[in-house]
Amino acid sequence: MREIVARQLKDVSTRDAFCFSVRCAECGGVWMSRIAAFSKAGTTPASEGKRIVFGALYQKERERARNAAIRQAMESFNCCPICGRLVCNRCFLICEDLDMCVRCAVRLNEHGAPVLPPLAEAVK
Amino acid sequence: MSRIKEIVRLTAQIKTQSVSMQRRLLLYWFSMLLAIGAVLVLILSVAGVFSNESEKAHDSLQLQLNNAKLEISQHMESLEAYGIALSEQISREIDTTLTANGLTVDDLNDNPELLLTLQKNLLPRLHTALQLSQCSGAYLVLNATTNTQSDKASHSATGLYLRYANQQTTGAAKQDVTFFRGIPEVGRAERLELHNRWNLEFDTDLFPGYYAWMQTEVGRLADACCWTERFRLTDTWEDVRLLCVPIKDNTGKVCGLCGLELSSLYCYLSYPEMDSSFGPMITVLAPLRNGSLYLSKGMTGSADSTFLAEAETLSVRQERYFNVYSNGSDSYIGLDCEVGIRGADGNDLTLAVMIPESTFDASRTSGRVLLICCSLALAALTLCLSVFLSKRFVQPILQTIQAIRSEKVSDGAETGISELDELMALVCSKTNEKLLQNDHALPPNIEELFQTFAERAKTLSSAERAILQYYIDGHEITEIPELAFISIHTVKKHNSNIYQKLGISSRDELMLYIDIFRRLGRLNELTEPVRE
Repeated sequence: MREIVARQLKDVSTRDAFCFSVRCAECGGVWMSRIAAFSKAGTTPASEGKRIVFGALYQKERERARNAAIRQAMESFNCCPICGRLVCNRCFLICEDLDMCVRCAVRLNEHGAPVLPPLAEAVK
Repeated sequence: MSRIKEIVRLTAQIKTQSVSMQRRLLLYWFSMLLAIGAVLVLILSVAGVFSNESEKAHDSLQLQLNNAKLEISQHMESLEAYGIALSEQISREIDTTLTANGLTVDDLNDNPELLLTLQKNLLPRLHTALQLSQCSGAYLVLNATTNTQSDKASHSATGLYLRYANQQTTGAAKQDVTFFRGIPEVGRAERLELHNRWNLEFDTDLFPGYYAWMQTEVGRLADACCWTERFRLTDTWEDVRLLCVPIKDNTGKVCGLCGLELSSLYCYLSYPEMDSSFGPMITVLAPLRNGSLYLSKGMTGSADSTFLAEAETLSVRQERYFNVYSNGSDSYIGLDCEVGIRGADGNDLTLAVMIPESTFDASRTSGRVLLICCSLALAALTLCLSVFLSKRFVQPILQTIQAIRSEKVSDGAETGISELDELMALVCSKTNEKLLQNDHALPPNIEELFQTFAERAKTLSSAERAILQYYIDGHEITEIPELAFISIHTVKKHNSNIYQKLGISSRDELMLYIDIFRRLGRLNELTEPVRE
């Protein structure tokens, strides 16, 4: 599961903050990880040496943020056992025999309840 | 005391320790092999394979034969040396006496005065020879007689013969000498006692080849000297062998004989029987012809412990380790060899060392009996050990079978055999399981509760049952998303459905039910899919 999510994770980080996104294969909704600021954001390196140090620090903090994003995404995405796509909780149905994504449920004529209610219902 | 207590405690501890069946079996087979070996030794002992008594007897006989040969050879050589020396002295004395009177040896016949003078001159030399050499007598015979007109003149010859009155093998200088043959005035002059069977002259028939000898010339005296066969001394009860050394006159012809005497009694005392582990060893010096040992013509050492008679002829049969000498009724084992002592017939005498076969057989039998007894005891001991070990081996198995039959298997029971202990433990656990299954007589209300729970579990969907299976397998809720490729929310959603359907409110409650169902061996009631 971790590898599946890691493969789908897209880096949308800037120079000052780290953020990763995963796109639901069914609804196309984009999930964004919690933004984590770079510890040296807004600081200009005083020397070439500092710039190298900041660069290494940036990579280290980015990796840490990426791992955190994977953990967060794993709470919101499911891997459909039929089509193998990574779909969000709203597009994943809890069915009688086997949980699956909405599209597979329609195709296989299976019925089930989504893990999370559709966004419209949730707003209501 | 404390150390002894410690040892006792350790011994008790060792006794209670479990030993593997394999080790016990090995021990048993080892004892069986020992027993088989002991029985084999017993059989071979009875068959006499291990008996090397004959070889030992051969070694003893060979040793004694070598010793006796050395001793007798030295003795005989010294006697021959004294005999030759005596002969040379006598030849010189005769030559001196006769030359002084202008006479020859033939002039000694019918001349008592001259014979008296000659014997008086010769007696001290004879006496000295007797005292110096290890013998029982000394003699000299001259080919002349006092009275040629006598009836016995043809086989009568003048001479001197001194003998010891009392036979001893040691201290010869102190022994009494008797005057056996010779002119009595000569003996009286030297204060010698006349022998009770005294005679004036010798009977020349006693000397083998006497007449032929008197007609020939001899070269070296050492080549000419020989021993007579054993013969009975005239008018006495004694048998003797005489060393014959020719006496040469000034022309080189033989004019008489001289020599030393070995009586049977002297030999008897000189060569005592030797004790050995196989019986008394007898020394015999006799001619061996055509496979027979003629004791009647030889000399025998003392043989008090046997029935060996001096007049016997023993047939000789060669065997592997020794010869067997038999006279028809009694047998002797022994070894023989030639000692280079020439007899009158030109053949060498044979030295034999013998042991009565009866004592040898008794010794051999006793040795074999001892060996048989030892191997029998060993066989019995090892067989007893085998029986004991087999009983010790089988007893715990029988006890275990009995315990299993009577279903009195207890958890802490120890048989002393590790494999059986494991078997007992297995049977015990199985029995307990069975008892638990059979005796799961839970109180009716509890049973109803679990029955209801199991019924409710049947209402779970396949997906929910899959999640439940993860819990049964011992996984935590946080592990399930990773395993099932679903989000934690999905798991929680399933959880809420599972709780609702099973009528429980927490995961702890769920795990409690799962644990109890597991203990009761009824987990399958929760996980089995519903058959429609």
